[in-house]
Amino acid sequence: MDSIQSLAVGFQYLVENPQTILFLIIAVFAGMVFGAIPGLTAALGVTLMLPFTFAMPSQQGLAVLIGIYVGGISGGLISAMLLNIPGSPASIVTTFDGAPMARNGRPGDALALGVFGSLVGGLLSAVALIVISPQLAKVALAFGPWEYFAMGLMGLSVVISICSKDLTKGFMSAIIGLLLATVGIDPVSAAQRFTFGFWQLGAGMDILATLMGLFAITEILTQLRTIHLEYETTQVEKLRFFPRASLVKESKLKTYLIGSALGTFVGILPGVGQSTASLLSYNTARQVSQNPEKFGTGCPEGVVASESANNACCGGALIPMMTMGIPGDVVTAILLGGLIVHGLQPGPLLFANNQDIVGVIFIAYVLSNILMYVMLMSLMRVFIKLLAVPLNFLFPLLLLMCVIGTITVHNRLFDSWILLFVGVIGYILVNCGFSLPPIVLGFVLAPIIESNFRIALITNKGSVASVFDAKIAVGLLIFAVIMIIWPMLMKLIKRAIKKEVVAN
Amino acid sequence: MKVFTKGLVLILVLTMAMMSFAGCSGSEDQEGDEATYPERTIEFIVPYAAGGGTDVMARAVANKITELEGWTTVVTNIEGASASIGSMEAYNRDPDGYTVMVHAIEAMLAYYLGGVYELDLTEECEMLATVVYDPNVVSVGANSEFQSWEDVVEYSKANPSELAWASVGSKSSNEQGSAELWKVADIDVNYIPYDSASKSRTAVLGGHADVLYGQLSEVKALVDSGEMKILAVSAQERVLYDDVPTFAELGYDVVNGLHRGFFMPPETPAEIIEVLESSIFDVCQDASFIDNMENNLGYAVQFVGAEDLVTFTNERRPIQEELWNIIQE
Repeated sequence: MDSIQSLAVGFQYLVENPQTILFLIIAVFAGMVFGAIPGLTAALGVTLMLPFTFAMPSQQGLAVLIGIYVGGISGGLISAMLLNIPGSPASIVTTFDGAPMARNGRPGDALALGVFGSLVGGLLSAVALIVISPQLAKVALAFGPWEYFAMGLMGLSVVISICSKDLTKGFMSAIIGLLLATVGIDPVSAAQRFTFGFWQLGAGMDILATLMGLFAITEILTQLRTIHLEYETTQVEKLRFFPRASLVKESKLKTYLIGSALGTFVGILPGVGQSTASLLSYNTARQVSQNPEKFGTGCPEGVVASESANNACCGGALIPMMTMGIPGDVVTAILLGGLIVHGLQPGPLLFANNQDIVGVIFIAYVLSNILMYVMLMSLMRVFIKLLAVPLNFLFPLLLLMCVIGTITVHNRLFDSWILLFVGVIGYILVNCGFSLPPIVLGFVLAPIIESNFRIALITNKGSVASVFDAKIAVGLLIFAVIMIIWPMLMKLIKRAIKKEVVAN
Repeated sequence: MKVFTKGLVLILVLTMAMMSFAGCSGSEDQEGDEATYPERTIEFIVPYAAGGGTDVMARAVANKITELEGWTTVVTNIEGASASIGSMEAYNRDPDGYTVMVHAIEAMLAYYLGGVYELDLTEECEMLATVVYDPNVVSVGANSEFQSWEDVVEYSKANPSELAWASVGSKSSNEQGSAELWKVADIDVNYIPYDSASKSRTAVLGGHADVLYGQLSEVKALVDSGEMKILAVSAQERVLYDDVPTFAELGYDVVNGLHRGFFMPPETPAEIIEVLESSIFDVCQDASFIDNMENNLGYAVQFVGAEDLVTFTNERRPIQEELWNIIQE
């Protein structure tokens, strides 16, 4: 029981160095702020704080980085729900149901559920991290290029569920997203694609700039047209420290489990990330739900599915980092660097050689989730006031933060032009009746789908049929196909029944 | 409402303050007077993401320079597009001695020859010094059927283009280094260009590819724990592991790896380069630096100064040109 021993050693360190907990509190709060402000992300927070942690003892430094990570991934739900602008890429899916729920006069419920879902996801993934991480890491190794490809397609099939009103436009939007993602140097053959002579576009359109352009700039432009009108402030329901039991019941226990399990697993896979995790969880929750038609209209299950998965993903991403020295996502890649800077060799030997570090990481992760819950819940009253801030104060501030955030990612001005360009395109598309989420889905999933498809083809010397050798991939693909044709099938069946009734 | 506005302002101010830490590199006066150099912060531009091997190396060197000389340094990450974004940014900076680019000779040559870079940065930029030699290795999962480099050669000769040879990048130094090895061993394999080292490693560990071709530093942690095994190292002599043979010992005369180090924008004054070069030389003599590089990163410290780098690059260029022609065929 190495983990138990590590936990004990880590706990001992914290008792002897209680100031670490103080740093952790500050870190989680700073992370939340980064996560909540559109344009600033958890990854940015961790990158900016990394140099400051060099001066701390390694245990403390890592605890601080993990605090920012957890806080940053969680904080995104605030703006996703209240402003319909995801604070960070991890909370894109939270806008699907969180934002409508807040608009329907239940902002308090939406936030409470989202935060509660985050806590459950975070804690369950912590259990997986502490108890079965070596085994889980082995399972993840079974995922080859075909499996990643199939998983990406499964994510894309969500388009069906969020665009049931106008499928044609939904698909068109998804394709626009896929195309936007092809800009830049192609990862497999290193050819320049759609760069139009700008070497700055070589790395493709930056994900943060594109996302903020689509959500924040488009939203601001749209709202500008009605900014002179008086608007009603929504009545806020009573706030409590724990969400009402009936509310938790409404969001279904199985949703929490699906979100946590899928989130943890997707987190383990390198290069996939929180947004895909919450997407897959959202879609699965919808499939098993008794009222799938409510998804997208502000239903509690949708909120929980997204938020539990994106937090669980953090715990998942820590698993390959700790057991194999392979980062599960962008932030854990930076954390790995943090380990090295502190003179530790990341990788399988970490457990054997540095039990105190492993223990502190475990405890910091659990504590960060709890701190995140306590802080978000007690500050909820303040966040809700965001709805009462006049838009003419809020928007310039948002715009400023988006521009600062996008520039800071790569330290260059060019990305702010991407932000503006994508924002204007988004505004035009929205006015033509297209919806934005499928564009984002296409954009986020395209790299996973494309590069793994091509790697799979190269590995199998061009044979598409080789997918049938990959059993997990076939299973995932069948699942995706069922998800895609299910609504149409249902429609046909209903129509057939109706005809029969009429004929009789 | 009032409390909220105050909070918002506070948050804004805090974030702006943080941003300024990241963004400010100082650009007040441009004149670099050699006698007093450096007068302000020296910026190291890393064209890769924070936390990667190149980044950690750059940070370790920058921190040591600060420690030994008392100069202020800052590391900026401008990643993406096969490191071309950050390199181009550094290339376009003023040659005042306050911008240092972090890169590897072989990678710059490979990307230029492959058409990913428009400029031959090894020719355009000023050489400063390289601090580590990161040799390329061929490694496998611990339970692989290939237990020696001879096994790999034998199998690929019997089954042309069957062996799944995982590596990182297309038209990269990895592909060219691989090609050199294939040519000398006279084998034909299936080259699979993953887009990151973590993905190619996972693929080999999970059995989705047969062998991994990459730098020693990428696999060191997994080799130390027994998850992976290095079959042979592409260096003049054995590196870090005494039981891993070099390709030359096995009869394949290939020496290939990455000389990772520092470069400066074109026309940076020679006096400034000398000052920096000698401080980097001192860093490479520092025991704690060497220890950190070797044990935690798997980098073998090996200082090569500016003049030697020019000679080395000029020797290296025709070899890689030839390799590039082989790949294209």
